[in-house]
Amino acid sequence: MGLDKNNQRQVVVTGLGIVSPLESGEGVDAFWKAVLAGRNTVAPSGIIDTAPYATHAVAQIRGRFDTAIGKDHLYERRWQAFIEHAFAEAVADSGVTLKAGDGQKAGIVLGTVLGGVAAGEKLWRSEGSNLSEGYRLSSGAEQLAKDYSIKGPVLTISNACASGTDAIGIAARYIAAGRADVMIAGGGDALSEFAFSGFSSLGALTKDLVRPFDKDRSGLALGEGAAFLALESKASAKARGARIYAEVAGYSSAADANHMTGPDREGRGLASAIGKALKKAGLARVDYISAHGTGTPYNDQMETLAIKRAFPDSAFDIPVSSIKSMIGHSFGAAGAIEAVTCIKAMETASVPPTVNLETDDPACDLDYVKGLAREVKVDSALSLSAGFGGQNAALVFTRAE
Amino acid sequence: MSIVITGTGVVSPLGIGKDAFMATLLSGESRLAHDLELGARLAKVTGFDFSLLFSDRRFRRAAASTQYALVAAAEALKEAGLDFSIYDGKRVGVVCGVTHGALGYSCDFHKGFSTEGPLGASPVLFSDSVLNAPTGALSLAFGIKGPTHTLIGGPDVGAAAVEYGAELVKEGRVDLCLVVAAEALHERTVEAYLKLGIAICDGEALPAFGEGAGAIIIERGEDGEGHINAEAHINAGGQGVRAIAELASARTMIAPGLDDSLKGVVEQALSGANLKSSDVTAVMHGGGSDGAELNTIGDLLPDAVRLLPVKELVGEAFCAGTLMNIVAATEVVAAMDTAEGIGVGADGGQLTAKIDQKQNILFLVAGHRKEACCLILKRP
Repeated sequence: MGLDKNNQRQVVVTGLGIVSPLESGEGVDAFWKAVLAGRNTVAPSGIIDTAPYATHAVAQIRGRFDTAIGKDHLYERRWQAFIEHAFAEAVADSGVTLKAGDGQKAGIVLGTVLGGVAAGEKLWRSEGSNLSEGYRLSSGAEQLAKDYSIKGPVLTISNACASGTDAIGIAARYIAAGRADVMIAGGGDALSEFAFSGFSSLGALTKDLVRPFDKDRSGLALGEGAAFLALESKASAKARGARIYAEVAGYSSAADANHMTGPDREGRGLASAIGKALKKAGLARVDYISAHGTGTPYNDQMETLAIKRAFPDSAFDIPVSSIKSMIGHSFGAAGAIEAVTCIKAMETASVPPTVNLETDDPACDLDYVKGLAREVKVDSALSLSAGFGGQNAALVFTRAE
Repeated sequence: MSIVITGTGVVSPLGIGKDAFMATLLSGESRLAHDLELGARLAKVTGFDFSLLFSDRRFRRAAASTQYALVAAAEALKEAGLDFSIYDGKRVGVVCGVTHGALGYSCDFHKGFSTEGPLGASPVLFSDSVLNAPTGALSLAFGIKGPTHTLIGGPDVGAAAVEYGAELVKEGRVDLCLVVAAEALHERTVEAYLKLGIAICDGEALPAFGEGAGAIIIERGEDGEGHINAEAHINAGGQGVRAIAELASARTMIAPGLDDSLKGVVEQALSGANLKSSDVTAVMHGGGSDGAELNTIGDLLPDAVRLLPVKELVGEAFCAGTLMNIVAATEVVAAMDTAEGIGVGADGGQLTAKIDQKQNILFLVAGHRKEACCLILKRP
């Protein structure tokens, strides 16, 4: 029982946790309601001084954490606050007791791109005396492991903007290989001037809205947040009577080997990742695709081509949407937030819209769920990510039998 | 199925290239020098001219840690005899261990935008400061199109990267995996650790820090033979089938106390390799953790010859130091069938103990979070 066709343990999702710019960072239910409503959160920043820049739009989490963190540390402690809240929600939602029994069998994989870089900024300005702990990327997962007495594998990965997706895929493999019974995996990142200035210097930021797949798309908006999935072996989840959201049926990572910051224009690396993840899942097509969909000219065209390569017979029939049109690009968190999106789509038989998509682009000609959410039965969903260094990652979720 | 190491490479304060590195290591000569301004001992990579060591000019402006990674990887790939111009890059993976990344580039980028505004923000400094920059550069330089991962953490993450790379090969996701860890010294790193009051290296008043990179190539061996998978290797342009060492076991674990982690991981690694502690001929450790590693070695492996950790000669090079140690241990394994000495002793002197081909080397390292990693290397 609980073995897949490769005689590895099946991995299921039993808990979800999220902090996003929607609804002041409230959890999964509020996020999902708002995302189906197509709510835009991209607006001028209140946390970064964008006055010297040509662009000002970010997707910021406003309100809820301002009081929780306190104004003195609102800037540099956001990342930790986001991952702590999303992690706690996922653990509570799953009902799993991480400290119980054989503590060696629970672990964490956290994906992040810049982690506590805001704390680093203070350190570099020599304003902080002991901020180096908060700056270290691995400090986030280490603190979570300490807080929850987790004694299994604890990894921090930084695979650029594919980090959240890879974190979930790697954690699933730990369970499949019998290295852990429970893994809490996901990603998190927070807005910082470092990130804003960096993406601005690359000319990647939009001046107003994020318009994935639109002919007039002008770039991405930086976002922030965190999301985690509680993953378990199917046998363990069934034994404790846990609610099972979905099965992690396939995962793959593949590199472009093409350019340090730009994607392969033909989408070959992403198509390779999709193909391998589908093969692992034993599927030829899926019912929904949560796109990376950053709203940059190159990404969206590349991603369209990759989907066509991977689904030569069905690409035009699969609904594809980008929630980055609403919540911006939260880099290390993005893949994990979009994994939650796939699972909620399966649970509620609804797929979120791509908002701000008004002018069709002949180079982006798939079904992007334009403007309004749609009711669709989703038995399988694919989440896609890509990033600097030619990183590509694909995760396939299926309905657990 | 066995997992074998077919190539190693190193850039270190002890020398660039493993021959120079091993020669200095065997001599026991420290490269640490006092830096009075910082109040620490530093061991820097010297004589590193990237333009002479690496012909691909696309990376001439890359951060030092990325350049160290590229040069170490090129040496390892060359030793494995692989020709990436004819190989299917989709069947190759990269796992990189990183502790601080290109901190110098991060600081310079930050200084640029904070003093000059948007015009002072360099896109090159930004993209090369992200922590997966070495991984992306390795993929780009060598046409690697399989899984590429960057693991972040302290010294232990170097061993965790080896463990993860071995898993990718074992599961058949790749035919071979390049595992690299690289670090470049930066004054901000030193200042931050001094502020934290972390004294690194025992027996000296001043803490010690180093830099560099280590790289290994992991492939599948044939069951029972220890030879590498000939078909995949030849498809990769391999001109000869040679495994330097077998990676008999790789484990990481964490327990409530560091001693428990270290002991537990040694027991797990021995069990994974079907070995008893008496089968371990020599042992190398990370060289840190306030003697905890040595206590474990004394308790569990009292008869094993202790090799000199690289850290004692180059200071704390974090995850890069761990890969340097693994390269050194691999080379010691490779030297076992020679009549010469096989390494260095704790006193820095060359060992005269002879290790026969049936015996094994255990590598042990402790991490920041009471985490411990253990690898067992043996002759193929």
